[in-house]
Amino acid sequence: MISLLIFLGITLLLIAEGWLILSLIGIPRSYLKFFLSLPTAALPNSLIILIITLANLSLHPTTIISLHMIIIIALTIIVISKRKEQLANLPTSQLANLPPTQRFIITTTCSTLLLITFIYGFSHAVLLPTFHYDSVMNWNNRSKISFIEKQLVLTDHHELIAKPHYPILYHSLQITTQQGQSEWSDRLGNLIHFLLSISSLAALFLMIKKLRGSVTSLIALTVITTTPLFAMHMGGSYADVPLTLFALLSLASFFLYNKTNEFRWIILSAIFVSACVWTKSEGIPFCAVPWGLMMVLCWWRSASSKMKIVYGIIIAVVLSMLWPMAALIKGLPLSPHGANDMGFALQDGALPVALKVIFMGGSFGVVLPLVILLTLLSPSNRTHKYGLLWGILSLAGIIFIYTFTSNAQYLINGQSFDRQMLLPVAILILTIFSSDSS
Amino acid sequence: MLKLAHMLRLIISSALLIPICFAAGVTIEPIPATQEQLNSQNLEELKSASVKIDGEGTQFNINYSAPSTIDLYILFMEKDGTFNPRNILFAELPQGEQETIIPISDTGGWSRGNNNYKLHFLTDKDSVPEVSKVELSGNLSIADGIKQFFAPEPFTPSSYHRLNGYKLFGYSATFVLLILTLIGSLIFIKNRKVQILIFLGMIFISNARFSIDSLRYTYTHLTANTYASAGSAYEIAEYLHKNDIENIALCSDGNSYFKTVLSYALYPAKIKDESENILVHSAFNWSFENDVIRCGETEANAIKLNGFPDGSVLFSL
Repeated sequence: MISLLIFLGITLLLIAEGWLILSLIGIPRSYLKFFLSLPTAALPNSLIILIITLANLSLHPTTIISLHMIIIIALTIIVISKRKEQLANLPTSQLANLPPTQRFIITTTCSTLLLITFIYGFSHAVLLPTFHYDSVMNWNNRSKISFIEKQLVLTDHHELIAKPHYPILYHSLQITTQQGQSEWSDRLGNLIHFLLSISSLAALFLMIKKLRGSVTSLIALTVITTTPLFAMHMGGSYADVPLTLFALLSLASFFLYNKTNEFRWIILSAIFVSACVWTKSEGIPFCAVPWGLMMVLCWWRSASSKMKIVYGIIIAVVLSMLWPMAALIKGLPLSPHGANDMGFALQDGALPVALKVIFMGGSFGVVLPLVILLTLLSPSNRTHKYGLLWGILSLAGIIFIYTFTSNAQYLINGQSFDRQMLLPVAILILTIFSSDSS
Repeated sequence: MLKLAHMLRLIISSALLIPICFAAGVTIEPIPATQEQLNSQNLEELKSASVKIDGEGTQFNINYSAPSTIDLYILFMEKDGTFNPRNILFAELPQGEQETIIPISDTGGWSRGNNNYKLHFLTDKDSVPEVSKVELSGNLSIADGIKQFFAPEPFTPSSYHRLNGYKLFGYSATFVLLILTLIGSLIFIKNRKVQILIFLGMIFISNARFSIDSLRYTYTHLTANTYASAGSAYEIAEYLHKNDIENIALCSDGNSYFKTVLSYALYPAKIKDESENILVHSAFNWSFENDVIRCGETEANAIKLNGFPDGSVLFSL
């Protein structure tokens, strides 16, 4: 009971930190602000863990909590002197005017599917211990060893961890919220990620609701969350869901900027896309790069707000580059599978497997092929084009890497390809449902 | 009223029994099996035979005579000679002179058209069974075609990477639903609202089907003492922790999965090549007789410390 209270105390501290950052950006008090707080705090928390590691200090409650407290006090002083702001009201979507019966059927179906996924996710992430291979090899094991050794495992080789060079956001969140525990708690390690997922999904629901109304938002959330492989990963212990959710929050923030022209949303979008880079190696090619191109396109088309976009890009570059720079200083590879990713030639047998996964596979069911179809058929508008750019670039990039490089082995043997496709699929779903013509 | 209900029950149960009564022989529904289950069979203690069969058909007709039961494993083979371990089926064939029917068209591995199968028959070493017929027959019924959609998606260590998916009438359910969506969209090409409903409906059907399995996983994992293939790794780790055991050696014929999960659960205790404690887990040939443990290259005097729900046993040498 005491260990749970300590965990909740540290989680509340992170939420307070996220809340203050959001206040600084200019997000007024709301449910949305509350749900955005934990995902927002994940990035500064990773920075703190990295600073402690690079300074050769011990990962101790005193060092971690005191650094968080310094940030919180500094933010409080700044935020107190800042005037309170309001969010712009956006028009509701046409789906808000659905007949009551149709509204009831859609709401009931979506709620039932979401509830089942929640039950599965909660039971597997929180009630049951970790029993997924990659998690114990690459994710929770690295956090556990770092917690026990009081030093983040940051190397290109470790006898008990297959990939000790992975970005550190996932581990940092677990390490911080374990402080004060006498020994590693597998359950609490997974609970913080479940809370991160639920918090991000709730924030996403409120953001899409602002854009398109509550019914459309509920449908979008249901389609994303109950897609079989995504639902499976709600059971925890892999970083694919956090990566996808940060990307979705970044894109939804950008869509809100696009609608309101409010600078705060661009800052938020920059923070979340940077969180992607700190979560998984794929964050650079499939999140930061397409996001950057999306911003350049937006800058190109923008007549009056060019400087807001430039500032947004600068924030994202500064926050994102800290991780790759730290990794390069430490001599760590940035690619998840090493330098083999760089030779290009169509790999034997890869394309048929990719097509089979997309059009006949079980990981996405009918969601993936229909999303591709809808992407091609949906009438184009401004919001749609920006989201499409990110979604299609990441989709094409993943298919290219898994069919034209030695990574094809991970497609053919059924390892990482399907998991990586979660990101572009979710991005395209968000785009379709956030589009004015949806 | 009660009589009417009783009569209705009789009529319904008779109707359900009709196919079995008229069928030539005993119908045995196969159940999903794992590769670990197949690998754990001690072939030195059993008599085994394998047969490769290819062809079309929805059921196996197997005629045989056996003094004891026969364990039958059915593997759905790929063209390159490999098989998908998630589609292994198991059936226990009863002893005696039998004409059996083993329906396979409602299972996840079955596809329309020509299929390649490998059948493993395992029985007692002293038993002398005679198998007179193994052949494929039958046409797909509508009921079995639909029933196949409800064949469970197995939960394996690799499920987090890729899901098998479901089938309908021997075809990929994803593909069938996709085609149905396209046809529906073309029919209602001028009615955008109906098109959206068709798209959403198909997505909800597809996702809802997996939701059923996710509920099943939840129930199974919450009620079992072991967690899928992770077995009793956490219970073992807790025991070692409570008894201040800092390292163990592992004697196992399984894959690296269990060792990896156990390493995580144990840390800072470690699995070493040599230790004063040995954990026997999924080993094919091992014994503990007269206080001597024999497992792999280990042969030493030992004390049994504890046994665990997944069959693992811990010894102190």
